[in-house]
Amino acid sequence: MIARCLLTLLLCLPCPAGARAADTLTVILDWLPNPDEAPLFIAAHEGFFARHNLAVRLIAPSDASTPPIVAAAGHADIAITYQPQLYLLAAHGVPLVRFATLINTPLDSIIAPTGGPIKTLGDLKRRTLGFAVPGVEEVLAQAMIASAGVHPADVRLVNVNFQIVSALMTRRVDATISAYRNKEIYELRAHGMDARPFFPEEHGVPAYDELIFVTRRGMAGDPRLGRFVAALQESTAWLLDHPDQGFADFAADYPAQSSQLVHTQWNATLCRLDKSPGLLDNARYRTFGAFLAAKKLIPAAPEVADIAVQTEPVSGGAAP
Amino acid sequence: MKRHIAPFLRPLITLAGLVGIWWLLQWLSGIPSYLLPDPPSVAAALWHQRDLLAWSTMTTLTETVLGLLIGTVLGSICALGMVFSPLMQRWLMPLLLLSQAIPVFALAPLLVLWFGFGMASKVVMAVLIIFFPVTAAFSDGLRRTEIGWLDLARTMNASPASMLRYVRLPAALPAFGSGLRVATAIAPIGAVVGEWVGASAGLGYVMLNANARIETDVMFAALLVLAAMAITLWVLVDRVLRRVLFWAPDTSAIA
Amino acid sequence: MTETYHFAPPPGGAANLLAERAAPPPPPAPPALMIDGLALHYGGRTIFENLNFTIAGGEFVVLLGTSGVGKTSLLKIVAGLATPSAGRVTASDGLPLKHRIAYMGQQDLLYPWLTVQQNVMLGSRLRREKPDATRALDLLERVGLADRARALPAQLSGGMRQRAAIARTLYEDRPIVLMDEPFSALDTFTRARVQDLAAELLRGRTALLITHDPLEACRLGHHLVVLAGHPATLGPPISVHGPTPRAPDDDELLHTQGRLLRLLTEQSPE
Repeated sequence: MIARCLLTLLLCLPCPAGARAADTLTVILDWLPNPDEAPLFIAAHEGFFARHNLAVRLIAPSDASTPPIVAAAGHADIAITYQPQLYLLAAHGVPLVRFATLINTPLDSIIAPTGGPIKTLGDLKRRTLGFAVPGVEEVLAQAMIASAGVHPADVRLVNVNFQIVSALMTRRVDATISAYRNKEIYELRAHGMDARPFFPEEHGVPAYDELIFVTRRGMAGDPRLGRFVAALQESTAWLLDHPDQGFADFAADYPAQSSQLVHTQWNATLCRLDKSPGLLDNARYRTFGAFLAAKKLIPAAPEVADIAVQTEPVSGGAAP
Repeated sequence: MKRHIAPFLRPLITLAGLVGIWWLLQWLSGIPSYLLPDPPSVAAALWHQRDLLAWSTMTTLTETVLGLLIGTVLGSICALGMVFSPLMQRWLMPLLLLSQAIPVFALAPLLVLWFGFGMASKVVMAVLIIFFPVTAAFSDGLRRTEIGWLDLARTMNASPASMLRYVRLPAALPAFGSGLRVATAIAPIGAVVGEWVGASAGLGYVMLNANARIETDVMFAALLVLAAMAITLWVLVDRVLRRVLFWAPDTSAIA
Repeated sequence: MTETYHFAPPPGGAANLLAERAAPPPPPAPPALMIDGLALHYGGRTIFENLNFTIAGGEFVVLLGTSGVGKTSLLKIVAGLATPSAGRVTASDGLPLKHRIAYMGQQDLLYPWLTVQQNVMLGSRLRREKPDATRALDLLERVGLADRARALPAQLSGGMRQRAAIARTLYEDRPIVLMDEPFSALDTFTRARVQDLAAELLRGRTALLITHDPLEACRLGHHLVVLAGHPATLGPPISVHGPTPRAPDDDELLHTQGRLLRLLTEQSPE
């Protein structure tokens, strides 16, 4: 979409005399500020980053495919991306590793209007399916379609470039993938359209982490990341106990996101946050790699250790 | 020695030089291939994806040419209308300026919503982008007919319709030609931007896809093909214009 | 102070035609051109007021004056290309002037996208009539451009282009010919040759030529008149004798030329 301005959140907590200056970290979000990144905003607003002596700068990108490349090129320390995308990056030699998870369930789904022709995935035969992110989502969609016994070539895939809700409402497409179960469904409902979701993990796709944090391979053991994970963990725990206060904080920082719709999306997102963000589920990453290799999106499944590390939360250290 | 180099060799030599510099740059700087691929991998991508690229080129070319044709016809009609009807001039001029002032990028999502994800929205984008240059250039040419020619025609008792057809129109052709050249250069932009916003085929779509899949070599390959297509189209239009405007010589060589 | 001038035909009449090239037959009875009470006001100024004069049928009248005095405006009014503030221009036979005027401007006004021959036949094209290619070629031969019929104007020299313009004027075959300094852009030698051509070929038509060159006026005109002053008025006509085109070293011509030059310099503002 149109270029967005850089978003800067610098914490300037008043430091008692003698405290160290905070370490900086630049994080590129995966999209515009939205409830998926709630822990980050709360960690900033409620001071969890500051408590761990971190000054974190959040940047919202103009399109979702650039954040990992920007981080790999060194212009940012951390990027948010998707577990499936991680394998593609590795296959092309982009030196990034996952060091923490933000949302450890899939969010993606295929949705179709309830009054429309798609009642089961099998109904997608000879129909149009919209998608937003080329590459991985095409594979997910094809796997889901295949699980319903339809040949992927019988479904016409159209890139709707994130205009998912409009594409569905104007009936330009019969169904779309790239609709998040905590987001677009509620948006459609707010516009008076009811939709039925089909979840990838129920239709031939192994479960995966929707949103992960990646960093350059060289930075994987950096002590700042341990503190980052600690702050994230505390922030998530706080959020689960104070959901409404959390939304009030978010709405105060981003007034454009203060509507009732966003509040509904916020509440639907909280249960999906990873409460132990630094933990790595080896089996999950191995299985998904094998899945993508079997679908020929990547030549071979990588070693999990090459693409992901576990990060222990480490306490920060600003003098209280 | 320079005189003996055949005209088509010169661009080839320039191209080879550019590729050489690119390769050297990539090799010396060690930029990773996912940021800047080297010429051999792009050449490989060009070969392996030749079917996809050929098909995509047809799509983008069709969108561009259709946009050019429709935009030129519409623009010419508007120019004629504005020159001969001050009322039309007053009403159309603001619309004309508006079409130029709003960046096509901003309109693209709307157009895709209104005209769908097929070719129609891309053609509309191309039309919008070239409409102003064509209309402005042509109406300018129509307005600036040499007074002497018009006076002569009047003394020969030409009707206003004759004056338009036999004096103003031919006299305005060079200006129209410049407008058309500009339009040909920018029409591909409209088509590609339209593809970026929502499509299922075309070179812009291939580039978008390749970018998301981190297939930078394919992206560069599509970019090169797009450039070649745009240049070829422009040269074609230029040659046709030169033949039609055989009587308007290029005086740049004269001091 | 206004006076009306009538221009009588020179002694000897048509018998003094040069026999070198057969000129196209002149129209049977070219009408006289009558200018009555012509006035032109523009931008708050009076260019000229209450101009009256008559050009007799078949006469060649030359109008001289300094730049900006209003000669071109006057010619354009006569040609029907401009509207006067007052007065009118009529023909002696009472028929409308509209289809009886041929015009030559300061530039050759050849259309660059047409060949020389097509330019000569321009009138037919504009009036959507069937063009007479044979007559056009014939005229081109008379002006010595037959071998350039297919050329584009850009390929011709200035002199050749004005000759083509003369051919075009003749193709129109109109009894009244109006010329606005058509030869001023040519070099002296070419100018002399083209003047000769014009004089021969336009013989027998009612012609009004504007020029600022006294020599040209004396060579071509039967009667010369100076437009001068602010607002401009017409001076008394000067008759020149002898058939046209006159030799430039003719005594009477030199004398008249001198007179003209004196008149012009006396009447110019500084």
